[in-house]
Amino acid sequence: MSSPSDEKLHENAVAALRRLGVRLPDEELREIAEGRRLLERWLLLARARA
Amino acid sequence: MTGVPTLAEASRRIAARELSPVDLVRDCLARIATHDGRLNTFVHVRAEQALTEARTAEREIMAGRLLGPLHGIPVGLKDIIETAGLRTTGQSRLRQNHIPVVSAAVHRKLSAAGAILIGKQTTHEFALGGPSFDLPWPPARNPWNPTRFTGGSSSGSGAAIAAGFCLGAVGTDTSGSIRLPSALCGTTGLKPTRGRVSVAGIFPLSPTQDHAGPMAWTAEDCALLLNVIAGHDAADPVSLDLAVPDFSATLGGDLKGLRIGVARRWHETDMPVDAETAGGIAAAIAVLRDLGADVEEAAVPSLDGFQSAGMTIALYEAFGVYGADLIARTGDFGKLFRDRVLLGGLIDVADYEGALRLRLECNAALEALFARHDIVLTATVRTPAPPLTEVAPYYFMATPNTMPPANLSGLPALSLCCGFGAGGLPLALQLIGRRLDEATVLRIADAYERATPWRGRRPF
Repeated sequence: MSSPSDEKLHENAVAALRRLGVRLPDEELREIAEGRRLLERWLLLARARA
Repeated sequence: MTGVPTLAEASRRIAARELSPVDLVRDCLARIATHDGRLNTFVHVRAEQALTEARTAEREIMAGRLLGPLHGIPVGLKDIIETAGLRTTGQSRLRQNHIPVVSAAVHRKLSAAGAILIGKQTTHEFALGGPSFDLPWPPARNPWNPTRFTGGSSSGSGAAIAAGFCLGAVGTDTSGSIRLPSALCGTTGLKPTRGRVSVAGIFPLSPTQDHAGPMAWTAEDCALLLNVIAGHDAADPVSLDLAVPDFSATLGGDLKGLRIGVARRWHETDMPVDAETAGGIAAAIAVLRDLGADVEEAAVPSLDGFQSAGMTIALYEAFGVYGADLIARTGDFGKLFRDRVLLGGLIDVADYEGALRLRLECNAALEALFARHDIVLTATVRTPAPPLTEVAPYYFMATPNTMPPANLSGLPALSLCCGFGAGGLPLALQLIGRRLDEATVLRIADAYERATPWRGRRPF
């Protein structure tokens, strides 16, 4: 993670996981958020068809 | 390792009363006892029950009541396939005491055909979370080198077949989970046309992409298994109500007139394979030409669209299946399954709908190839089996791969061994066929296997 947009993706992902009711320590939520950042590349292609 | 017959060889010898199912099952159990302590291919071995069933099979066969080619054949089932009265865990704490009341259709069909279930085989947690070291059972290890990954998620099935612990198995494939372990373990695995084999009674993962299919040592073995497990099942809403052809009937000939399209772009550019795999594929193409096939390059679309649609749909649907449990019982899941499937809860419905549209586009482009080609040939995987401990949590997002196209489209696809690398690990290629044309996929794989020495080599 390096760019401001990546950091924003991370923050949003952690917040969304909390909203879902996921009860995990922050560090583990951030690891999932990193997965969400990697997923973004693929979601963009799908989003273009939405 | 010597003396492990193929499923087809064992079947012929049992029918001729030259091989006892009891001896066959006993040999498999002996290999399991000797080697499975380091390979972990089974969650549960039915040693006593399998021997009892083998004795019954032997009596029936000797009395002239042979049920068919699978009678007396030891097989395995991935442990997300429900077996009445026998624990089906999904390799998860959540189901570690789950004893189904009803068997999955594939288990019922195998039992009715006289096959002997030797055990329930290791998978990734609910067919997605692995290889994991934080579950009640360890991950399977590759019999060619136990420090290496088996691939997944039908990991125990691929490894057990290679090791001679059983002669066939049924696995499942949502994004490549039959073909990947077949590739890394040097076996043959077929994901049939969607709807050809019922998935009723199998734990779901991505209900619009889940498939079940045969795994074995050879394409001929897979044909014999598919003959039994294919067919309509009213309990599966996507099951096809079509007659099942004899998939063994078209095996054994040459390949004259068959048109093979090589998806070079996929394995050279979109998912560039290593030099050993490229060499195996190139040599296999030469063999197929010698067998009479017409080979030319296929103008395939980019893998990116397939990867995007496949991953988005799979994760979104997996969260739909497991999300409530993940939130209520977070700590009961392994970390890999938990982290991967929670990603599905972060996908907007608009992105999922976009992925469904993208799937339609990709499928149309893929199916159009079959106006010119009978088969599309490409790699199954980028490299031989990597070290088990070096499989990244999100490895499936790093590059597009060649397996999701067949899940999205529902087309039949098979992985087979096309040689061995310098480290002694198997190489693999993939054949994708027309909808409902498993026969041609199996015919090409069978011809290739008969023309090459690779089926004569076992890991020990």
